[in-house]
Amino acid sequence: MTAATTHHGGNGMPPATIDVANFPSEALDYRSPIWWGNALLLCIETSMFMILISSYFYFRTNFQLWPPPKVDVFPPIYRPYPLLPLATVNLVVLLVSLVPMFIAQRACLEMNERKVQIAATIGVVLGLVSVVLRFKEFNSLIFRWDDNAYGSITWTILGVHLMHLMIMCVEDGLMTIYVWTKGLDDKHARDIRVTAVYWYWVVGIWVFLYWLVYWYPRMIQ
Amino acid sequence: MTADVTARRFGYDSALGRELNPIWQRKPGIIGWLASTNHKDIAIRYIVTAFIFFGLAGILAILMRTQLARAENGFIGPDLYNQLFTVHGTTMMFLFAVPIMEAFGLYLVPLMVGTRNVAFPRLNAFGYYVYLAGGLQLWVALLLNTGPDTGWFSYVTLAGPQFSPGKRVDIWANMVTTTEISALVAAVEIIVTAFKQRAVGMSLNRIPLFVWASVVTSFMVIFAMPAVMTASGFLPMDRMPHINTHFFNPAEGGDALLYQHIFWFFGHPEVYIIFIPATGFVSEIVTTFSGRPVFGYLPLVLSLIATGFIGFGLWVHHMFATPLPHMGQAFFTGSSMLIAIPSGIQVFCWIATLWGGRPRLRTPLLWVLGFITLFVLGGMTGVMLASVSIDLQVHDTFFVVAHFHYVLIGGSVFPLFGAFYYWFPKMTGRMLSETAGKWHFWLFFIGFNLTFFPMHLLGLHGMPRRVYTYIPETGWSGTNLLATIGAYVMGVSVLIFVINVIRSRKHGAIAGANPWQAPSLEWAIESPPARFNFAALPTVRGRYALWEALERNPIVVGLSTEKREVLCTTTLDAQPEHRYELSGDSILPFLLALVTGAFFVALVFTPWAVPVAAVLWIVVLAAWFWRGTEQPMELHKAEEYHRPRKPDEPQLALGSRKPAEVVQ
Repeated sequence: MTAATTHHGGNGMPPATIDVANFPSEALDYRSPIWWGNALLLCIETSMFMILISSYFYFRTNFQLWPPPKVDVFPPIYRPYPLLPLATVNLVVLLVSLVPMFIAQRACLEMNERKVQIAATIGVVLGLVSVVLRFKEFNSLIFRWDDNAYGSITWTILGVHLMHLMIMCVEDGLMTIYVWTKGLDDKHARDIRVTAVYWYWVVGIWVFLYWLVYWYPRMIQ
Repeated sequence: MTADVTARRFGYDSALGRELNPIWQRKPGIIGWLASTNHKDIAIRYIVTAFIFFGLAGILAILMRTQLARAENGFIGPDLYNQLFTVHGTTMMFLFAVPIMEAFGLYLVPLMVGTRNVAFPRLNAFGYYVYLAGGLQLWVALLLNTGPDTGWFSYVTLAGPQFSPGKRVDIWANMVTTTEISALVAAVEIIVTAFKQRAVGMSLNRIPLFVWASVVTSFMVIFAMPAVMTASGFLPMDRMPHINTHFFNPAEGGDALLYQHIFWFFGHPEVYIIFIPATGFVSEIVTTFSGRPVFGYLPLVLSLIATGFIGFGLWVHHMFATPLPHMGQAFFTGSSMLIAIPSGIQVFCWIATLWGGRPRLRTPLLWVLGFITLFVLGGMTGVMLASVSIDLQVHDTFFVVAHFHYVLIGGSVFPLFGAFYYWFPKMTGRMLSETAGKWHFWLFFIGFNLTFFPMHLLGLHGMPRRVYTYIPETGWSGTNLLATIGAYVMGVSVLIFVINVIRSRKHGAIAGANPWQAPSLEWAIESPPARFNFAALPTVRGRYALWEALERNPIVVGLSTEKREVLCTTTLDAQPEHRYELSGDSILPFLLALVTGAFFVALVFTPWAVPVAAVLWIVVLAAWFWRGTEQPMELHKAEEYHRPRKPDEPQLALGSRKPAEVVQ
């Protein structure tokens, strides 16, 4: 391995260089490592929900009727379907929250600080409304978590998703407060764009879970 | 010496290195130590901790073997014996095997791809401290005589509230959740680092095989670990007073078999999560010590990926003794045999590489040869166990114990020791003693076969696993005594290893940059590497950078010397894309892990741990998020990525597919 010395870049000769000083200092999309980190986080979360959903269908096979009749009240409820109204309102709230989050992340591309502040605030407020509604929504399930396996899995699905709602509100809430107090910089523009992806995912998976918990039992009878 | 030229260019002796040094140093004192986010610091802590757990679990194994040395031995009672085999298995799987494989990934991947740190340094530090918290929880519990006692997979209904009152199983479940968090964190780090921070020119078809192995493993972690976290969430919920869910309670529509499905949906990929990085070690070691490019790079990579996929389709073969449909069993028999194909391809590629090269029989290669022998033996019994009829006969016997120790120790621990001898010089700057290494190898090899080969016979004779004693009339005493003697021989060999490490750390021969004449990028820099790894980032033109006149390649300059900056490259072709500032040292990951660890301890006793911990988490995370930019940055527009090349900018011709010529 001595051939190198005669070429440029060998002993004593300055090596050829690639100067990256003029390259952008941040990427706002899939080029950013944070975007990848978030995408992998979503893979983890999705696998976890897949296990929950599989368990839901697994328990289904142990029951004649799904949900099972509720017999510990008088008169017994033969078909205790989970109640639709509140859950549907909450679904609409979540779907609407996509709009401000979309506007906020687009505004990050233009570095439009005021637009980001306002849109993100509206988004976070809608998220918080959804969290409050979700706490009420548990009553729509009629069963308690400790009544039977049906109750356990539906409470868990709602509960785990609630956890994600709260995490996304805290995350975007903190970021929004930051942008209000310190202004919008490159890093937080990137972070808002990445957390918007997380937000879409939390809402998106709920569309399926909402169908699973509230409509699937009605459709199989 | 080329090695010195490259070491001078990339290391702390260069002008650029001296400029970079201050910003990459960690702060002095204990706080600075805890706050370090350097991937090498974190990975070495992982490795040391995991080896300590390996030693502790090994001591438990020796205690168990002592109890089984003769029939009706009174050394250890049934209750303690149950704790011993549970904690032994749990420690080896969750606290040793997975963490140490990922730790080598965390140490080596950034070096092998030619970057300065992992993608999310603070998260990485958090992962280590959380892992430590989980390990301490388990071992403190064992010392307080509340060690888990339901086996390393803690099947319900045995582990349910009815048959396992007390806190032992809750401790097990929370320990699992804690350590899986750390496994997931490490997996994300490895993938993002390997996909976004590779040296310019290191397209996907040029990355070292160990990096491929780490990436495939990490993807498996990402899709497998959530399953066990769900199981280890369901189980305490079923057990906890005031919660009392019915996931695994058949009386209320729950299902005990579901637990086995969820557990093994994680548990079988887990075996490959432990095995695939080991194949990465083997590929690197075989290449270096054969002194030639590896035979069949593409088949090797495809085998890794195939194993990664097929590994998810095998889990039911752990459940052949449960009432499952025959159709399903037949399917899983087929897939269990199928996975032998990619493993076979890999073995043939390694043998071909050795065949076509001039192998130098140093200690690392010795371990690899031991691996090939034992892994093939373990693979044979694996194919036997894939058959339902044989499996039913030997289910829960010592035959199974023999099988999985052959594949896990033979398939993973042997390459791991080889890797340790191979990379120890890089980590510490000193060589391990070859003589002690050979003693270590031969005693371990002999001890291993003495311990585990007789277990095949014991299993075929019907000796069940997890039973603390047996009666003399069974005629198992002699074989068991042999196995016990083997265990002691292994113990002595590990002792030699420990002494070798401690001695060589101070008195070993100085290693220099590239003691093995290896081809990958980590050997281009000093041993141990500077805190920033590479002063000027290297570029590569082929798979074997140091065998292809690395010093002729251009270097990357222009990254900041004021902050910790790396270069991000495109995922497929590794063309330069943008600069990326890494976060600096911080005590917050340690604090967050402290809260998390305390949470999982408290959760054993009360569900009220959840809201309390949630508040603490938000406080710490708010501090974590509240990081401004360290200095104002120029605003940029999205179009900047697509700007035309300036006339004086260097042309990047490094992505060319022309096969590089190997300089020997």
